[in-house]
Amino acid sequence: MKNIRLATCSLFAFLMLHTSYAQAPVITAATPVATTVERWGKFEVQLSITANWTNPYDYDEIRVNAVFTDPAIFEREQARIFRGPTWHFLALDDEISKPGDFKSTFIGTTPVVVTRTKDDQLKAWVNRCAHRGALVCRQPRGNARVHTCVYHQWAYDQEGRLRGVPFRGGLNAQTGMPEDFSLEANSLTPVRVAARGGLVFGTLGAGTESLEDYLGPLMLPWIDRIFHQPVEYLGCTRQYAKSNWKLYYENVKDPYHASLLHLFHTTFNIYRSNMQGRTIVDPRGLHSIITTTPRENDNTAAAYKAAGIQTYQEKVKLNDASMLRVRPEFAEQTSNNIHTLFPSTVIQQIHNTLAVRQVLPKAVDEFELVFHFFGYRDDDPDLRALRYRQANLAGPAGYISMEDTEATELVQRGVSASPHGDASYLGMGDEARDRQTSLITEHMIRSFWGGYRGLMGWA
Amino acid sequence: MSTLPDDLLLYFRIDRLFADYCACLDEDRLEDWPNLFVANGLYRMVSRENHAHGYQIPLLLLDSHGMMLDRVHSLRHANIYQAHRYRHAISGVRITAKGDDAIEVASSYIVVQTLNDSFTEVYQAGSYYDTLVDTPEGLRFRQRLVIYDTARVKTLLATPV
Repeated sequence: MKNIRLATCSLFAFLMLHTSYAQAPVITAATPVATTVERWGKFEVQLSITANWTNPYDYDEIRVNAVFTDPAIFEREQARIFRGPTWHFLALDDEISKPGDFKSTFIGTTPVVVTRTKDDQLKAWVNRCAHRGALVCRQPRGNARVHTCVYHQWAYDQEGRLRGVPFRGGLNAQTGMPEDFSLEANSLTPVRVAARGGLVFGTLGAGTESLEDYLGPLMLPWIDRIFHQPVEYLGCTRQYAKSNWKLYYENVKDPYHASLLHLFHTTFNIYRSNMQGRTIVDPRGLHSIITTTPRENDNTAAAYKAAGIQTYQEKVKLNDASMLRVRPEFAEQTSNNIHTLFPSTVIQQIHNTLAVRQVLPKAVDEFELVFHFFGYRDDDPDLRALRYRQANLAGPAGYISMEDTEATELVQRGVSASPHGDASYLGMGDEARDRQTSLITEHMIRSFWGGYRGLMGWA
Repeated sequence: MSTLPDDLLLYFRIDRLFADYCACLDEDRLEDWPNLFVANGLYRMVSRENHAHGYQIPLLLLDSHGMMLDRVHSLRHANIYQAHRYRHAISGVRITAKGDDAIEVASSYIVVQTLNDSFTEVYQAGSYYDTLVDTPEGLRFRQRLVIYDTARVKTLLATPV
């Protein structure tokens, strides 16, 4: 297996000499794989970091099992990625539509509240009292003029500014806070907010570039395609997976699995690998989008049958196909639009079901996945009813999504058994990396690891 | 205590319906499960969080025998999930309203799940809000609204609750 892998690397490196990634060193079978040991706190982390890591597509060396199992790497991600120069979905604008509306959420493991102020401004702050560090806001959502910590009743306004401290001036003969105590200096940590088309994002990074620059010109049109008119929040579903958050990112960047793991997809013509497809990656490897559009005069069923692909099952017929009716609402009615924004946001359009999936890491081997479903404000009753009906497709119980968290847990269980082991083979579509129409490819995953490695300081 | 409560027989019939319902789901008789609903019956599962705020997005929404059978067939032939068993415990059954042709019933449930290679864990707790009608086959669900308290679904939900 190793020989095959290295041979593939050589071919890969050869190909790259003919692309814009020509700076990458050539990897040959003779190149020794060096390991280095990094120390973070009490942890020693052994990583196969070699000179070859300057190659953003060197998937062989990058996906070591430790990135899914090592708590020190998880902490480094929180510092360098989630509290670093990245933007994160916080809410749909419509979730906090009235002044005072707030929503409690997270950026990585950091608790954050996003709210609409009385002046109609979107603000967010870290949900951690400046006094002792208690959570200030304890409700998932609501409406409030003032946010008061229950512990000692320190009170903050909607912008997170400290407005009142009980007994600040003491009580009778008892002294209070020191004279130089400053309300302003003890405000909640602000979170920078940016909105686009009904999406509200936040960043904890001090110098994060603008949201538009972060997403970039290749990705923005796909966001605007979905968020071209006011949206209405329809509710959420939450699920909890015992696996590393990056395994979910691999999953949503992996069109290869979609028609193999999800039989429902294939059988009912929602997703087949010879549909008209797009697999576009932003130049930094961070974001990507997969779309599929059924072709006219599609004969895919015959092709799957001829190839003997087990995931196409003729015997599975729907008694009630009302769920699969499609109301065209886009210029190109894609059957799947899975738009992955690094590192915590996935925008989904599957038929008429629209959702923003939020990935919330909880521990090195746990994450929460929240689907925020939405429609458009001007949905007619038929279309709205169809969106509720198609909610059967996606979410924790979804016909075409329930397997995803299962798959991530299977990988987690596998890699945990050998955290320093040889990890993976991500070679599908290797020789046609620039062909962004192939649905049988792992190039988006390879790019993800390149972008990830850069942010982790391992470039 | 000399007279029996008027609703005793009705409560007993509800108890039998719920026992059949649990047996279908807990004893892997999923194909029989839709038959406990009228033909155009509604099974709707919504989180407590959504329900409390009036948001209607469901976890599952099946509003015909056909859709319910499709769910079962998909679980049998299409979807991939770990083999598991549920055990339902239903308590606090109350008739909350009586109409001309239907009764409203509310109850609490706990479902424990046993994965085929693991321990038994509490999978979900919540409420059932039912509309029941009398049919020649016995009491049947016109509607079962499942409001689940357990905010997070553990890994995935394959089998209806």
